[in-house]
Amino acid sequence: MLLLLTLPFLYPFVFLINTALKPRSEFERDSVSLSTKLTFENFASAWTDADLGAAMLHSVISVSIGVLVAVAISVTGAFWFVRRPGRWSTSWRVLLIATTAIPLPVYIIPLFLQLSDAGLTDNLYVMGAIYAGWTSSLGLYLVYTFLKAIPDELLEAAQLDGANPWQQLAYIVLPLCKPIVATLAVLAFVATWSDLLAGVVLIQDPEKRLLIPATALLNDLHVSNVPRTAAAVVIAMAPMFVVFLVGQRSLARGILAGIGK
Amino acid sequence: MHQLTENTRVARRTAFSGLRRVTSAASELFMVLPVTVLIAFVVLIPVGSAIWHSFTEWTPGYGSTWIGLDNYREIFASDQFQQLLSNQFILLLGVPLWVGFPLAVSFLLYEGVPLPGAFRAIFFFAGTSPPALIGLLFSFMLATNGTLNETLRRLGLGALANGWLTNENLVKPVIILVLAWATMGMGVVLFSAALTAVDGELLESAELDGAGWWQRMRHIILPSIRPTVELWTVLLVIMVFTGIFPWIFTLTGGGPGYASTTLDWDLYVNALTYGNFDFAAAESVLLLAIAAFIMGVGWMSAKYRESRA
Repeated sequence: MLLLLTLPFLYPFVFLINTALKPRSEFERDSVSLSTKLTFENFASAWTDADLGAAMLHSVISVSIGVLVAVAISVTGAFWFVRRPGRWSTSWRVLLIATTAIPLPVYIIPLFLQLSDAGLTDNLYVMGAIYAGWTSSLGLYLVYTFLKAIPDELLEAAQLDGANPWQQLAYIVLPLCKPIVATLAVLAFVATWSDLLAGVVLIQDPEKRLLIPATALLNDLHVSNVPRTAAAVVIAMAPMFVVFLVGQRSLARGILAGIGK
Repeated sequence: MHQLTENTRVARRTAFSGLRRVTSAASELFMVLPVTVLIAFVVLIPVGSAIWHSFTEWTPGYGSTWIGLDNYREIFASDQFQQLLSNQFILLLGVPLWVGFPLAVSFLLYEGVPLPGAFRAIFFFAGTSPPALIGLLFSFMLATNGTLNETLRRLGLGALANGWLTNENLVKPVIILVLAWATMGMGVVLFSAALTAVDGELLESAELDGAGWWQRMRHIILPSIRPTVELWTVLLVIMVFTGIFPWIFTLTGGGPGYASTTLDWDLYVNALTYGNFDFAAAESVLLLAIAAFIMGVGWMSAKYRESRA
């Protein structure tokens, strides 16, 4: 019964890989059957002709900046909020965390205009910073909740030893935060790697496209080459697959923690 | 004399440590500054800009003039917006499906099958794959000359072949089914987690007391997972209004005509294709209001349940 239910979920992936490995001429004759001849030319064509190799590099740059910065500023920010409870700091924290609930389509256009005024569109590093800003509100929430659950004595002991806040952050808080940092990093990676909207709006220069926007736009060109686009989809999905295999647990935990508020 | 220097030294030391405390508090602000500045620039200021500009006639680069509610009036009066709203409400009809499917699958997994983890992983991978890529994948299969129609023809069911994404009556139900596929994984993860939290001892003692499957389901399992079901429903309703963009981008481009245009797609097209930035701003604000309303309802229903419990 359940096996039957999983078939519709497996078949599209089988179809995808089969199509990506099928010569284009054969696909146009017959898009259904298993490929008679396996070819990697679709991958080669996607990687070089459609410039997905470059797009992959762009995505790696923006997404890794995004994840690293999001982790760094969420941990330091959350530590400050834990150290300085109070009415002001509470409303400040709630305001920052509440931005998680604002959907990206609400602010993407004004954000684009603001960046474009400053000449900061089509810039992979700025894109990384945007991704960091986008995911750090959730990061702040996750790390803050995590730190709140840590006994105060740990930090107080460090204070008595004469460690200043920055030292406490580096030598005590950061090592403690490892599990939540892993969760946050996986979540931020999945969210930003999958992003289409911010990518198509903020980077419009074809030379600088990120991977998923570049792949999605392949379909838009008037020459439709389905096997090549299928190969592109496989390429764009591969890093997600790796992260999924390594971080499935962190991911599930992160989604549950992120959603459950 | 000796006493005096001792006093000044103490005074100096306390003054110095006070100063150090102040500078340390100031330097600590650098811990919270980056996250504040980034969120302000990426989210808060643009949201403010959208709200402000939705009440103006706005040509970026040429300034804006206050026109009150005119943008909103114009939007509500347009035929296109009526169509768009009805699209949104038809998509909402998918919500029971997107809740029911994963709920049923989670029950099956919970009742005990071999390798539940493997099944969960398959659904979960499908559910965490980038929507844009899944959309592309489905666009190959559902195209008029695509694989689904060809398969139907080969099975001798050619009469059933259809323009799944180009027929204006079919396009929304098809999108609902694609979304059922895409939301399954997350739903199963959520519901499975909720089901493992059901009190096992209570279930066992109920069974010993002779409670049947349906009674256990109705009096123990369902009440215990109800908050999760409500939460998932709220998230799905929000998705219908704010998360359809990648699907429309890859599957239909909003067509045929406006048959699959949603609010989040329309504001993108208005801004970047037609340069109607003030219109897009007003649509963003509507989106924000809708999201806030849905979350408010979800929050209040959770509060109401707590107060009754």
